[in-house]
Amino acid sequence: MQESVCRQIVTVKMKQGLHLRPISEIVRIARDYTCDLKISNGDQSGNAKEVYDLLELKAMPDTQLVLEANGDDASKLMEEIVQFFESGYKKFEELSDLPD
Amino acid sequence: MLVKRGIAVSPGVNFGPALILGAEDFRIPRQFVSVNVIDTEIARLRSALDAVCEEIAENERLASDKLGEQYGAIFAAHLQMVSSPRLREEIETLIREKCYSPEHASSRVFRRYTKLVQHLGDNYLAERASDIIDLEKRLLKQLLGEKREELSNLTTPIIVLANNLTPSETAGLAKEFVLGFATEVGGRTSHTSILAGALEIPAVVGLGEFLSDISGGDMVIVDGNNGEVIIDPDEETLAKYKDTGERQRSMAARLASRRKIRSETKDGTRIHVMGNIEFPNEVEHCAERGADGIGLYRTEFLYLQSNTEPTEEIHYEAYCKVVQAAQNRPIVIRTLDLGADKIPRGYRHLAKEGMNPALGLRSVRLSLRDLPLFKTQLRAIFRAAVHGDVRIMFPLISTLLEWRQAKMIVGDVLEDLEERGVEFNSNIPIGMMVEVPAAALLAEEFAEEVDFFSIGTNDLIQYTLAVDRSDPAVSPLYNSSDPSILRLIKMVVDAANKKNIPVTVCGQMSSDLKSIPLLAGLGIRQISATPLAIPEVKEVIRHLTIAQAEEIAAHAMTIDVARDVESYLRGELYKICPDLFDEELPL
Repeated sequence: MQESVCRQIVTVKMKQGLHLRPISEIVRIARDYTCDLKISNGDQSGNAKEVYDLLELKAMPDTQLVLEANGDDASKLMEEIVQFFESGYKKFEELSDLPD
Repeated sequence: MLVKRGIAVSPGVNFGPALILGAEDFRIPRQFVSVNVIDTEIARLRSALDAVCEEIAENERLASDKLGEQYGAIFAAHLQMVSSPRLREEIETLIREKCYSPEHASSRVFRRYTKLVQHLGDNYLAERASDIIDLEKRLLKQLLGEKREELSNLTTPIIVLANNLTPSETAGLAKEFVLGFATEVGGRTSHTSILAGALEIPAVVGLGEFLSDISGGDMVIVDGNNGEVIIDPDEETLAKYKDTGERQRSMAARLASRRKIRSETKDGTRIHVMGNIEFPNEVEHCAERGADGIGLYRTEFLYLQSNTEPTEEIHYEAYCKVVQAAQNRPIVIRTLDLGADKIPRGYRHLAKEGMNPALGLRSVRLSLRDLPLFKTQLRAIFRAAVHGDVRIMFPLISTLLEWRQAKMIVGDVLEDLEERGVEFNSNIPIGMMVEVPAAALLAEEFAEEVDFFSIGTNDLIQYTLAVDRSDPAVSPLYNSSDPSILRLIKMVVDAANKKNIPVTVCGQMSSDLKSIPLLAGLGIRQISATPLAIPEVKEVIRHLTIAQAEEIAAHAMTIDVARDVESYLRGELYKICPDLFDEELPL
């Protein structure tokens, strides 16, 4: 199979920025794929399969993030992650109102 | 090494391993492991992490089944955080390279992430930090297993760190192992300060956020003299503090050996030195230091101990304990001196939010508003007075009318006790605190009606100079040497002498050694100080003649700026007791 590299820019629309709940969902999605996904906020970048890496991005609302997927299923993963940043995250906004 | 500055609320210096209250439910017993057990320690870490993962997975199943999938998702996030390869690697690296125990290494790594999340922008995100703290607790619980040391069952000394200590948090603490306190918030009247004072251990409060910079087991120095907390000190600093601690202990021992010597001036004038206390067991601290009695027994702790109001029996028992321990020396009980915002039961609504509590419904004002509360306390005092020399004083009296009202209620209480047929002593001195400038200005009028005065310098200074000393922005304005304060004290002493009633000075000024010659010179013959300060206060008195004191007071009264009064008094103190005080010891 041919190795593919995908690159995309997304905007953080979550009201609270990239906090634990959406991070957890991104990690869950990324771990379903074999390819690597790197997310960068300026100089800071991290592995999308690692919660703590994403926390360290300190991505506030309206931040632009660079996504770079590298591997067999890169384009499929990219599609799902972009969709999450576009609208999929909304499910987790509602969730954040739930008591812990 | 990290140095944090706060408000020193209880003097002394101590150091030891940190215990973070609230975050840790038990303490981390050791910081390091030996090199040859590193592999077994790492294995222990791995199985603990696995156990936590299982625990969370089980919670996730339960939550999804019972509450729906969205709730389960919360645990899914936790699971990712614990199963993270990066987390494992970081903890293992600390164990391998620094020989940290798995407990200490885990605590360090989790603390760093807690801090990261706390600083992640807005409040909502910061609150998520509690998720990570929870994970840390779960892991520590697994790691420590049966060996974990509960807070009520500590076996080694520790320094307690907390955001803010509450009575319920300290209730279960094995206090004999606590070397010191340091808290992020709080002021001089906070629970931490009171407790530290009572336990006579150093404490610093109002340090600002610092708990995320520290892990359980880290070495911490609490410097209650200078209001500093030093985290992870270097060797040189630690050695310096060890030395200071030893010198203070030997000084205390030297003074304690002279405790039986009477407190009188060189020319034979008796000046009674009594102790300020909060808890019954502190009577012993005073007696050990040769106090002439208890000049201020604060009763607030009875009200703060539990969520219900103390019954007459609870009051009575506490007072009897103090009376018994005092062995016929006088005890001055101050009635409730709290604000409505601190009292359990239905008075909180009276303490309107946003109002200034220092000028609001507090102290005797509250007692006069809530008569059942007031009478309960008074009944217990008159009953306890059967067993010893008990006196009552009302705090924060500002007008004659208030004083008369309070006395009227005393009359009612005595009638009640008569009717009930219980044993009580109605023939005891009743006096007032002079801590509102209005009361000082009318001291002559008050002196006609009260049995004694006790000058509460802390509030008198706060109200006279209009400064809240717990507010760092204005606290430099708070100064017991201000000429206005000196004049008010003189007015009160003159009025008392004219009507021939006793006058005591309690409050922090009476523990401040440089003020002792001044107070004696102004005519004060009774001083009530914090128990720790009693031996030194007595020592100053014994180096003094009344003529000398009067000269100092007369000169101090001519100086017009607090700062100059202060440096004059400090200079005189050095002249009086040059041999007694080591320059490095705080005065």
